[in-house]
Amino acid sequence: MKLLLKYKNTLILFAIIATLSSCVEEIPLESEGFEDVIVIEGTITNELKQHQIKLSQAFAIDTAGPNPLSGANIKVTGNSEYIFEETEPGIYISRDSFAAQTGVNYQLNILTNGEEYESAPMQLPGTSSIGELEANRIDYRGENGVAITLNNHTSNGSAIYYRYEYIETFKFNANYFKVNDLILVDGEPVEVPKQKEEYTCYRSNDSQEILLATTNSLSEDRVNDLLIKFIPSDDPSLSNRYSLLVKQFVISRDAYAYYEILKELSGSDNLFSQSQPGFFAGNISNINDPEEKVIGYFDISSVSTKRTYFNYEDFYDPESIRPRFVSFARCEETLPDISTLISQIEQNLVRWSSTTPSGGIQVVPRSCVDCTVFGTNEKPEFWED
Amino acid sequence: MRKILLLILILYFPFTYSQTTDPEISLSFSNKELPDILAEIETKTNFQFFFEDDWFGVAKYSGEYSQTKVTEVLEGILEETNINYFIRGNRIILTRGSIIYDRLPEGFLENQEETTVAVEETQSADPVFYNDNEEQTEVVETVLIGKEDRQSGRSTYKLSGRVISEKGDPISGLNILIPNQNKGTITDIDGNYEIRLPKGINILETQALGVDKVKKRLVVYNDGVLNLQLEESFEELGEVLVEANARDNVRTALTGVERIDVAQIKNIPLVLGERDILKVATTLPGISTAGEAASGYNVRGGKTDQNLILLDEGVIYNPTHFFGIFSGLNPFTTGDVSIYKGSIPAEFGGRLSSVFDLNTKTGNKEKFAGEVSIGPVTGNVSLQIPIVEGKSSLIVGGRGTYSDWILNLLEEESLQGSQASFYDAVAKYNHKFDNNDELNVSGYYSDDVYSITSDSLFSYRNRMVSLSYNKFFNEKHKGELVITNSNYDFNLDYESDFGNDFESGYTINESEVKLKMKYFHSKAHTFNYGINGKYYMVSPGQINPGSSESLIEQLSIPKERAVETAVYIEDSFEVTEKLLINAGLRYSFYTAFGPAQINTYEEGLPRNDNTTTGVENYENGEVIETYGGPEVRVSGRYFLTPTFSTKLSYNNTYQYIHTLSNNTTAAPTDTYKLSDSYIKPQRANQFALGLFKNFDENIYELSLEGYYKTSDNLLDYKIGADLFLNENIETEVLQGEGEAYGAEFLIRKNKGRLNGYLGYTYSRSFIKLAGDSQEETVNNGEFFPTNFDKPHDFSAVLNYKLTQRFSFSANFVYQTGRPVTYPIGKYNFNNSEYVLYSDRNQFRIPNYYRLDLSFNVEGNHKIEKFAHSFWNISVYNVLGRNNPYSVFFVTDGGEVKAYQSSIFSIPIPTITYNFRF
Repeated sequence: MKLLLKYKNTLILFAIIATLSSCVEEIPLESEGFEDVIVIEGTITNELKQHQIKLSQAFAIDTAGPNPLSGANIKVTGNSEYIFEETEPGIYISRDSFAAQTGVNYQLNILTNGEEYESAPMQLPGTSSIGELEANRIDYRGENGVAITLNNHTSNGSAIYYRYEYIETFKFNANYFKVNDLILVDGEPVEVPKQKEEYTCYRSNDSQEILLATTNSLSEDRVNDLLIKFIPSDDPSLSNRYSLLVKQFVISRDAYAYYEILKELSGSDNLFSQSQPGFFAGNISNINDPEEKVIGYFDISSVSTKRTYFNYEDFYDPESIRPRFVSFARCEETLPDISTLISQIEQNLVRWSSTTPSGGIQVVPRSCVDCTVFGTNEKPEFWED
Repeated sequence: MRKILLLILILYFPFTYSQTTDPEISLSFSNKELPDILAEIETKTNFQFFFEDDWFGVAKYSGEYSQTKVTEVLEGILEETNINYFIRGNRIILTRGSIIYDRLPEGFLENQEETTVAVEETQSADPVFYNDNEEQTEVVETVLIGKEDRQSGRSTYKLSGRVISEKGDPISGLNILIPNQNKGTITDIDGNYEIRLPKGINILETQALGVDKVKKRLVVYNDGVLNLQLEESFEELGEVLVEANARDNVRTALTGVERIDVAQIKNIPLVLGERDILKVATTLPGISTAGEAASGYNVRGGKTDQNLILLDEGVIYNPTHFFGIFSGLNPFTTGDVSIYKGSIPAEFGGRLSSVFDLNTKTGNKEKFAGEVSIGPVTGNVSLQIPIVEGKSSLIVGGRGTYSDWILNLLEEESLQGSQASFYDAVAKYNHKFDNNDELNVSGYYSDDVYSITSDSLFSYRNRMVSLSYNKFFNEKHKGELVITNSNYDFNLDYESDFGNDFESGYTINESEVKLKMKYFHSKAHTFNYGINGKYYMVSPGQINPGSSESLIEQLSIPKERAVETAVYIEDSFEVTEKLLINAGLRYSFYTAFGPAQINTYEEGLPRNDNTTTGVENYENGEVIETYGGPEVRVSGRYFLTPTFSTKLSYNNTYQYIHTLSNNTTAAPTDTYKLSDSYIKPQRANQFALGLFKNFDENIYELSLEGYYKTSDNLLDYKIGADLFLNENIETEVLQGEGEAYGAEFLIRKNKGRLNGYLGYTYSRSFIKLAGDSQEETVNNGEFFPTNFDKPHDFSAVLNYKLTQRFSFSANFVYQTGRPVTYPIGKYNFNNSEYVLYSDRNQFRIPNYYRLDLSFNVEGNHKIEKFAHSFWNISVYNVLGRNNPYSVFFVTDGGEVKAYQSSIFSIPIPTITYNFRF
């Protein structure tokens, strides 16, 4: 059970020392030798669908990833054998749709570059559905914002360990709504009515953090007020309508332990005492060379999803100035000379703002008017207004 | 040549007065000085006394005699003094110390006028004749010790006494030397000393830094007392000497012993102006910390849990405040510190690497005294309070932070709701019943509270009580009975907006009884022997819901109980003048007992939840497991020349208690675990060889020591181990072998305008974790450097006196950066990048160096001044070197970032003011 607190904000320190001298600074990553290690990501759920296994390889610390691993033969054996086929580099999708069943052992088998990897046999743990998602405006660690918390009720007593993923989607506006566009006709700027939606957009972000919960140490098997997402008040995602889709995975104890170590070693932890980092193995190994380091975890889990919506007005004064991606200070109108304007239009840097009585064209930076810089103007299929 | 025949040798009395009559008188007096009493006798008889008034001091006597012979009266009133008397006719001649002999040794009076009157011949031990005919170049006071007792056949007598300063403070660590006998001793913490001297003339010299050198000529007649009051010389200012006793360097048989005279550390510049005994210790070779904010000390490549830290015999589990940035031991009440990092005397046991033996000062029994220190972080007060004058005293010291207050002044938003504060208090009561019986009662308490995030509160406390009773049975035999109790506990409370608040905690408590005996068998043999027993009780963790809404389930990990006992005997054997052997044997025995429930696991498989086969139940008091073994403690010293010695030692040690920590450096949340059926006691062997040389009458001291150490069953942990509130710790731990070796070089200059020391250590420390499976194996089961392996470690502590009142001090440290585990690659997982770690500790953070300077101003020494003040203006890390404390890798926003943290990265100036009265 992990109870020791993680001191998230490493900059907060013993006051005197903090103000006097202590410092945490980012340093460049330097390559200190490299080992080729296979990385396997795969979660088979109780949803009837084509499941996905991801294969990649570690890459040198001073280079950019990802480094997908192609050309592997992947199968999962359960009641029958499910073959996975590579659809994109490193992404393998099961040929058939299937859903994990309770009481069945599932095992992952991978053949690549003459090596054979196999997971431990895994079973579907209990099921649990998300009870409610609640959004509240609170102060959290000295910051004001909206917190989205989760409660659930276990329908099956064997669900103890949880992992969460979410996708946030929000509707937002550009700083200014403008009716006209500028285009170049024969090399001359011409005012035309707005040709596409640039004021209202949507954006989605996948969760990147590891969110875990356990009811192991609780008197009741229910996850209670788990903080899924905290959005500071100045975040533009709050400015119009916000939606969070939370996906709950009931996972095995060993999977929980694996994710917890990953989370602990990648967190900033306590500045004064750092957890001992090192390699930790999951449940997959090379059957011919058990000592080979293999990263990743093959897990069978049951899934429950829930979506919630809220609007800016639910928590903030509708008349207040809403947070934007671009600060208004950087959206001042300019009156460029004609040659500058032409090059700005060619490079898609500006948008029409107004035309002076004398016919001069005033512009603002594109990002102040065009919300597609930050998202898409297509309303997602699921979106409910 | 001036020749003085000091004693007029006539005849001794009790057997001998002859012709004279001995009239009976009646006499009654109370609270009178001797001369008055003698004058009264003169009026009642026709005797006439011859003496000097200043022989008697101001002692007052009371008595009542009725029809008693004058001789009996005299014997009565002179019994307590060193005065002898001799009756000749109606003259009574009083003499100091001397028995008046009837005969001189042959040749004694050649060329001198004979004035002796032989009256009667007696048989006795060799009498003392004192021929003060040496050429005098300095004035040396002569002191007569004891009253001569003709019956005594002993060749040596015990001289004891106490040395105090003009302010009444005991002077400890003072060298008392008898150059003519090539003998010496040192005063203990209370300023007491004891030495055996041959009958006759001895020259006594005292030597210590900070106090005037004193030379006295002693004429020893019998056991006696010589109390000295020494003036603190102005040399005190600016001496940064850490070791008070210069001669110990070459003389003792023990290797690897460091002594710190706490009073002398005040000039050493330290962080935030806190005088810190343990930080000073780390400037000595072989003692280091993993970093500025690491709790705990690494001694000769040992882990931080391998040090036995004793304050007045009681164990202090966590002697640090605020993550080790400050030490928890009060520098104003601590008298001296001995650190045994090589030879560990047989009386100590239970830890592998070292013993830090700290003693609290004994309070001034004559007058009230105190000391106050004001620094930027803490305020400190210590008081010495006589309770019964001359018999008992109390010393109390307290220290507290005002950091909470400073914290509240800061309007930094990120610090809202943070707090950090600590305090500690120490007290010692000393009662001297008589010369043979002494009682000490000490208590210590420390408390730390801090919260770094607004929703968590962490606090920890040390509590220690010790009681010791010293008894001199006779001049050959003394003993000490010690009872101690120590407690360490911490609490971790969590309170947030999201429910599931909790309060959790950990406690360890130990009680110990020790009987320590010392037997001075002969000049060649001194025995130490004793027995001790310790009872441990550990509450490894409990958690409770923090509020009524919290769903946290109450959980309490069952208590662990164990008893550790040991018997020991040690002989300090002076084989020849050159060879001294200290041979000790300790046998320690450990029993862990129930009630307990212990999981059993499949044989030959790694212990984890999947290999559990069942649970074994142990009843209350049922033995779970026993361990034990002999511990050999042998060391020897051989003088190559009188100032040059070589020493050799071998030690083995057992340790039955282990810290649980999955951090790279020690932290206050580390818990202690007792050995059980799975976790075996740690063991170590250490060989050490040293060369020790003093130059220029001990002004320079040089030592070079090498050691080689192996250890077994060192505890380490699986990556990501959960140790707190874990009922099955055995599934998370690994045990492995350790190897450490090193060479330590230290040169000190003990006197002069420029004084101080330079130390250099080359040392390595490795551990090997080779379990049966991959999760139990680290770095392929090969030896790899420990987290605190710092091969090169150079320290210089220097002090330069400008004048008697002003001095500069400097402190320079250079160390190899400690090893850290550095990633060998990155990978994508779960939409984020993570780093891939492989072998542990294959990379080092940049080397550490730091220069600190301080300027010290001593208040003037006018006696009539109420208080004696001292200013210390210091700058820590003058070079502003950004010494990395750790390097770590964080996945933030899906990307890997590398960070380097440092604790004190810019120069930190501080001023502290200190005064004593």
